[in-house]
Amino acid sequence: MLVLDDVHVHYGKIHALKGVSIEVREGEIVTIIGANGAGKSTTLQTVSGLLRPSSGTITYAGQRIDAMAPSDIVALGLCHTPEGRRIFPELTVDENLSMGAYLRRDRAAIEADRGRAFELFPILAERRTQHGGTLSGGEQQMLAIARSLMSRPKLLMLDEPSLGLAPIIVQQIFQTIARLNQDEGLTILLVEQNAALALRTAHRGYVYETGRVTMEDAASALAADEQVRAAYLGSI
Amino acid sequence: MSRTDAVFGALALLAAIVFPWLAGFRGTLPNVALYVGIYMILALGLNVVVGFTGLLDLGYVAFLALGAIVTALLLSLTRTESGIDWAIGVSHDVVGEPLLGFDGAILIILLAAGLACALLGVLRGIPTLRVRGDYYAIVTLGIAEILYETALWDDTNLLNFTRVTGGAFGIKLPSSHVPHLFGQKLYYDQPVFYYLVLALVVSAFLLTHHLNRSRVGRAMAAIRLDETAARACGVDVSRHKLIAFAVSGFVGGIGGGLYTLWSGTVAVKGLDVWQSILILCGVVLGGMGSIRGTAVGIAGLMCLGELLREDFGGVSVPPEARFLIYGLLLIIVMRFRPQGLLPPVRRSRAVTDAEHAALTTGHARLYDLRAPAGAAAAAGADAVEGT
Repeated sequence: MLVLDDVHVHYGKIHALKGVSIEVREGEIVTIIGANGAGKSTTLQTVSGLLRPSSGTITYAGQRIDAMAPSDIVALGLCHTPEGRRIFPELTVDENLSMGAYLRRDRAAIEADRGRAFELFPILAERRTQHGGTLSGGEQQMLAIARSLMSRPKLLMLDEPSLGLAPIIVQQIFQTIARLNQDEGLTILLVEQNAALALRTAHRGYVYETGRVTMEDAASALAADEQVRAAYLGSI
Repeated sequence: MSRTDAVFGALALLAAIVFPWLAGFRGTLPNVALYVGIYMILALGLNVVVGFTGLLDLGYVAFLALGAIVTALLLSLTRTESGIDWAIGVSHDVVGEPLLGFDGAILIILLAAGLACALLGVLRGIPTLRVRGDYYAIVTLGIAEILYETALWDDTNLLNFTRVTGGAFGIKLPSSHVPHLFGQKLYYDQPVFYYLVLALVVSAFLLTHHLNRSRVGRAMAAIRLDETAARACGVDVSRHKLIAFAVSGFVGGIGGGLYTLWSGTVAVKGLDVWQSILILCGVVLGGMGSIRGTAVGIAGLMCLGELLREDFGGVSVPPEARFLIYGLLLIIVMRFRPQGLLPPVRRSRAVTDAEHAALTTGHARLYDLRAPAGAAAAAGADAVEGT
């Protein structure tokens, strides 16, 4: 579904991605784990068109997308929930959801999806007339995911959904992520610092080190790997 | 538009229509009204970029100046015995008939001024598209200054634009070239001019109001609130910024054209950075992003400016001190009402409880990604009907 082939990204002189090749197949949850600055978020930003690869190709559903505008990439069904949630604090929950459906014009289906978003995250229904900025961190993350879903993505890219949230909320959010994948067939590319949780949720995983993919395997195999356990899972 | 807004709008329009019947078309009051009207158009145009899109523009005077100059130049095109010339020469007189002297030509000329400024807006905006907001302010300030200096540049050996801009003296429109509309001369003291300005003020209101309510307006608001989030939602940020620059420039150009008609002369010397600041102050005072706020803010500021020209029992405020008073006013307003006098009303159409119940109960898998969008839409409609 999504294939990155030998993708290089430079920030000025900094070589952030040094030939990354990864693949996400339809129906999968794929996670990228790795230390800070390894290039995980850069990968998502490059796929969604916010950054341009200096070389390499990105193919989505058989189509080259590495030179496309971000809005065209969203229109193809590839939606990015950026790190730090990035909801619109001055807009209400309802308006945030409407912005997520910005590229769509099928009003009845949009309203239906709004209902579905409230079903997934009932707390958002209670808060629907509140401004995004007044929500708690966990609620904001839920809103960010719900807003992305409003674009009806086929592939959702989540950047650090657990960042700064209480463990119980993180649990809830990851359950929802798994549910979206199982029940709705949503393909998910997940970038996560919390490697243990990410590997428990995902089917497959890639391990990044300073801009390169160093390991690639089934999530369970990675979780069992000695090196991964030592470096990212905090256990020996 | 809420009902209160509609009522206030209608009352204000009615007042503006009957105003000259009470005050006449000649004299200080109607003249101030025209002046306010022209600056209102400018402020409404600036509000599109500053208020709707959230980018600070410190060089809006460039549109006022370019619109005014384009209008003056087109009006002064003259058919002479030896061909076509401009009747703006400081050093030589041009004798002949205005080329665009037919009735109503001014509407085309104003359109041309608007389009020229829309182009300037886009050209000026392009270099800032790849960088974040603050650079836009610097570029606008810089380009306005470059244009200002260029217009006044009279070095005879190098580029000399004073032939076009009149340099420090400005361009004076010959009275033989004052345009006609509906058979009347568009002089500042003629009813037809007053109502032309009024019609264009109303047009600027309607244009920016509809823009704000449109899909494009929603995209602009998203850009203002969070550019990255807007991109993630699929908003084409560059395209919508360029639309904002073009609309803002277009409206400013029309305002500039009216300025030419109103004053009869265009002297670049007076169109400096303080004009940009003045218009920006009006928008900020009234409430950025609010159309009625912008209108009230700039009108208040212009009227205050006129009052400050008066003699208060032998004490008068020197012109240079006027901006001190504006600044003080701005500080006071920002201290006690940082959102401006009439900030935008936050519209949020909440989903009603009934709708919410219909949306959240019982139907299976509306958000089924494997189903085509049409099928889900049909399912949604069914579910709503079914409850």
